[in-house]
Order: sequence, then structure tokens, then C-alpha cells
Amino acid sequence: MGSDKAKSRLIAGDRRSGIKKYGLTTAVFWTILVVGLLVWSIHVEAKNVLEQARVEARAIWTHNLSYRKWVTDMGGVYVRSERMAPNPYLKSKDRDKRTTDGMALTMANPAYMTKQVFDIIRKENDPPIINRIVSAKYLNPANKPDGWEQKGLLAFAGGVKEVSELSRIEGRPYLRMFRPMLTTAGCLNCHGEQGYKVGDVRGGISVAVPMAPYDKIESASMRNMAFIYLLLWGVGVGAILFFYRRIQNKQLLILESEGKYRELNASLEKRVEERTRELEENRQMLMEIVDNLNEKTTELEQANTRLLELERLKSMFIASMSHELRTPLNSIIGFSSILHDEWVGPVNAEQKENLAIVLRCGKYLLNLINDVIDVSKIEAGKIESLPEEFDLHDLLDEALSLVKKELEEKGLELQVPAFSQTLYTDRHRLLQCVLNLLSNAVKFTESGRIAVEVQLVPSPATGPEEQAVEITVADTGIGIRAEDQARMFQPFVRLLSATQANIPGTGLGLYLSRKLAREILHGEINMTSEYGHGSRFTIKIPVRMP
Amino acid sequence: MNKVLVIEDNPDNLRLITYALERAGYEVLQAASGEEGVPLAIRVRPFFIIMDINLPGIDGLEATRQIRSSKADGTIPIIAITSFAMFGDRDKVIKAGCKAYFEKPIDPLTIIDQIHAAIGITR
Repeated sequence: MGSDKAKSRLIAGDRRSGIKKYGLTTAVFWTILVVGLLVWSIHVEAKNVLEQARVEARAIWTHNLSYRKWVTDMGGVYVRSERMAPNPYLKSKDRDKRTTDGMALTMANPAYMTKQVFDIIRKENDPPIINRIVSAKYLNPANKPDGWEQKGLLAFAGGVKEVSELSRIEGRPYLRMFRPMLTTAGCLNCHGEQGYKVGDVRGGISVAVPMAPYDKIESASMRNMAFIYLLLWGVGVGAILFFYRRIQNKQLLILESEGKYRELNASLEKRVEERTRELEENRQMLMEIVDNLNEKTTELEQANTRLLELERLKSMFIASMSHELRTPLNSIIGFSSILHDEWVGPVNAEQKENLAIVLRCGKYLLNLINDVIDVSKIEAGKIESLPEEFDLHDLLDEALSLVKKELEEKGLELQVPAFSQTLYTDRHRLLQCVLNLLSNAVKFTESGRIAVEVQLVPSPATGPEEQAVEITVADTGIGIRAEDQARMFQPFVRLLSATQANIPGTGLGLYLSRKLAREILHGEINMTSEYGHGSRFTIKIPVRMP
Repeated sequence: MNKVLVIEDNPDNLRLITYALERAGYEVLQAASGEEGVPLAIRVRPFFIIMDINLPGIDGLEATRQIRSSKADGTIPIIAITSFAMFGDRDKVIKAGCKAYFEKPIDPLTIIDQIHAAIGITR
């Protein structure tokens, strides 16, 4: 984290110095530009000024020449000798003249006049404007050209029309201009003997214009320019600074937000890291859980397989038990039965009785086996119902026929109603229940009557239009004591008759019947009893099995 | 005298049912397996056949189908006897071609009447 902050500051610093560099560079460029322009302007100004001086010089020169020309054209001008001393260098016979009234006159030749005027000009200006008239073939030594003028004269000979230079005269700055004097016809009057021809360079006039006023102008102008340029430079730098500041500020803002962003990023990264770690932990836990689950699932699957195997074995057991137990019983019951009925030959009373015992026990064993198998089937959930349509009366007749023997033996009366009713339910199981109730009734009734009652009742539980049938077996038997009534439907409960004789029965009949009634026939078996007077057992089932 | 074929592998059961059939006046032909019984049935064409479903080798259902699909079949009633009484047995048995179905143990005193009732004979 620390390195991140330092790193960002470094980057920021670079950025800042970058802007600074940029600003400085711009400022430097601006300065160079301004300075350059200033220098150039100064240079141009200097040239202008110089040219102005030249213009002045030229004007003066032209004036000089014009006055000289006039004098030349006049052929010379006479002036009072008292004013002007005669020119010793003038070798003309017309030089001195006297007027008729005695005034002494002397000729002022162009050069002589020019020089005097030059002197005046010189004195009239401060600093003095210095004019000179020179020639290579000078007659007056004062007209001897100096070094510069000599060079100029040579240039004139080559065709150059003007030379000028800046120089110092008497310690002051001057612009010297030198232009040629060309020989005209008038010049030949006096100078012809020197060998000139018209058009030759006779010499030159140099004009030295003091630069002081021009320098003054120049410096004033330069001061002005400097000021303006300085101002401009100042404004420029100011603008640069201003914008630099603004950019810097913007920069700072950016850097700030960058910094914030970096911080945020870092914190986000940290959080992501944390979350990732958490997720990884969770994932690992999940993996462990999944592994556990897989283990458990495998265990469950194995257990399930074992259970299914057990189920299968149970079913097989029940099935094979059915078969294995019933097969020998078939023979026991069958053979004792036919022997008892004298199919194979006569039997005496005692033999008959013995055989009867074998038969009875065989049947009892069979019943027991059947009941036990039935109970185990019900417990195993292996009973399925086979509903069919049948008439109740037929079923009751069948049940009746199966208990007929015992009824007759005991001398009991049986009443069955002539009641025809179509039922749709498991006939076999209903028969089983009815038979159970009937045989119980017969077993526990010594004298009197067994009545079967049938009644239809509405059955709203099954459906709005549905009905249930109530089949009641009522006997005038010994009844059931109140404390025994609760136990009646429990398995392996057998009651003793009044004579305390062992009543044949498995003790499973009512238990099984009730289970069948409830679970297969979707009904119920109930009972009422009065000890000593008799009992009533009622099966109630829907007319149509749902 | 009408012939009746009994296909039953258990000798005790066979003996018992034979008693009942002979007492009712039938001549009894016996076979201890489907392999023995089927050709016998086709050859003799008995009045009816009592078929034990739980036979070794080919079971009673298969034997029934074989007899039913033979050209000499006609309409010999086949009565199935079974000791299992599992669900769907009744349907399987009827589908294979049996006319009636009785569960063991059979009562020798009443079995003949029951059979007659099932195949529609009144005596």
C-alpha cells in the first residue's frame, strides 16, 4: 500500500513537472519570439533611421549641387572683395574686376562658394553638418579627398552612384554620404585644362549628417518598442502563467481523482481479494460437504440396496412360505378328508373320529398359516385390492354356505335378508371379513339366533352422491366383557367361552378383518356387545370402492 | 368314460386329485411335467385338463399356451391349480388360455363340483 501511494506521488510529480516543463518551454519560446521580434524590429528601425539620414544627406547633397550648378551656369558669381578674399587657387584672368564706380569685385567660383556655404552650414548646426567637396585632381589642397573619399571616387569611376557609411567625426556619430560630380559643359570653362571630358567624374561631394538626432529618434523609438514588446512579453507570460495555473489546478484535480480512484481501486482489490479468499474457503467447505454428501449418498444407496434386497427376500419368503407350508397341508387335509368320507373304504366310528381330529388340526394349521401370511402381507404393504362388481346377496349366500355345517351342528338359526345390492369392491376380502364375523358369531353362540342385517347409508366422506353399506352380524352369544372389548381387535387375542373350552381360532381374525376393512375396503369394523346377551359386529364400506 | 389329463409334479397332490376324479367317474391320465403332458394332451384330446401352474421345466402357463396353439386343440377346458395366489396370477392364467383357476389347497370333497361349475357342466 505504501509503495502504491509513493508510486502515485511519483507519477503525479512527473506529471506536474511535465506541465511545468511545458509551461517553461512555452515561456521560453515566447521570450525568444518577443526578443527575436524586438531585435529584428530594432534592426529594421536602425536601417530605417539610417535610410532617413541618407534621405537627408541626399537632399542636402542635391541642394549643394543645385547651388553649385547655378553658380557654374552663371559662369561664376562676383562678390565684393572687401567681403571675400580672392581665391588664390583660381587661375582665371577674370578673377578680379573693378566696377566703373571703383567697387572691387572678385569671382566666387562654384567650389569656393560651396566651401564657404559649407562652413556656414557647419556653423549653423549643432552637431555640425559637414559637407565637403573633393576631387582626385584637386586644385585647392583643402579639396583633397580622404581615404574613404578616395575609395569612393574609385567606385564612382566604376559606375557606382553613391557610397555611404556610418563613422565618427570628432567623436560624434555621422552618416557620411558621397556622390559623384559629373563634368558638364560649364565645368570645362575652368577645368577643361585638367583633361576632363563631359560625363567624367570630376570629383564628389560628401555630406556628413550627424546621427545624433536620428539616434535620438531611434532610441526613443526603440524605447517605445522595447516597452511595447516588454508589455507584449509580459502579457504573454502572464497568459502563460494564468493558463499554467489553471492547467495545474485541473491537473491537481485529475491527480486527486486519480489518487482517489487508485485508492478505491486498491481498496476494491483488497475487498475482492478478501471475498475471493472467503469464496475459496466456502468453496472448500462446500466441497467437503459435497464429499460428505456423496459418502452419505453412497451409504444410503447401499442401505437402500440392502433394504430392497431384504424386501425382495421378505416377498420371496412369504411366497415360498405360502407354497411350502400349504403343499403338505394340502395332502394332510385332503387325505384325511377322503379317508374320513369313506372314499377308500369303510371306516369305523373310532377311526372316523381319529381322522376327524387329523382333519380339524390340519384345517386349523392351514387357517393359522393363512392368517399369519395375510398379516405379514398386510404389514409388508403387499396387499393389493382387486375390485369387481358383484351382488352382496350372492356373497352372503356363499359365506352362509361355508358356515352352514357348524350352524347346523350347534342348532343355531341364521337369518339373512333377501337384499340385493351391487357392490364394486374387493369381493374376496369382503368375504373374508364377513366369514370371520360369521364364524366368530357361530363360535361364541351356544343357542339362539345369528342375524345378518344390511343397511345402506349415505357416505358424504366418499362423495356427494356416494353411499356406504353396513353389514351387521348380530348374535345372541355370550357377549364380551367390557374390559375385554378394547382388546378384541388386537392380534393373537383369544377369548375363552363360557365353558372355558379352547375355542379354535388363531386370534388373528378380527385383527386381520379390521385391517382388511380399513386398508383394502376403505371402511371400518365396529362392535357393540353386552356380556351375557350377545354382540353386534358391523362392517361399513363404500358401495363403490374409491 | 371321459378321459381327464392331470399334469402335476407333486405325487401326493396327483394322488388326491386322481381319487376325486375317479370317484366322479373319469378315467385319469397322469403327466408329471409339461414336457410329458403337452404331447399327451394333443394326442389323447381329453375331456378336460387339470394343469398345475407350478411345474418344473416349462411351467403350467407355457404348457397351456402350447396346448392352446396346437392344431389338435379344439376347445379342451384347462383348469389351473396354483399354490401361489399372487396378484395378476388370475389374469395371467386366464390370458394363457385357462378356463378356471383354483388355489391350493383344494378340497377333494368339493373340487369336482367346483370344476364342473367352472366349465359349465351340470351333473
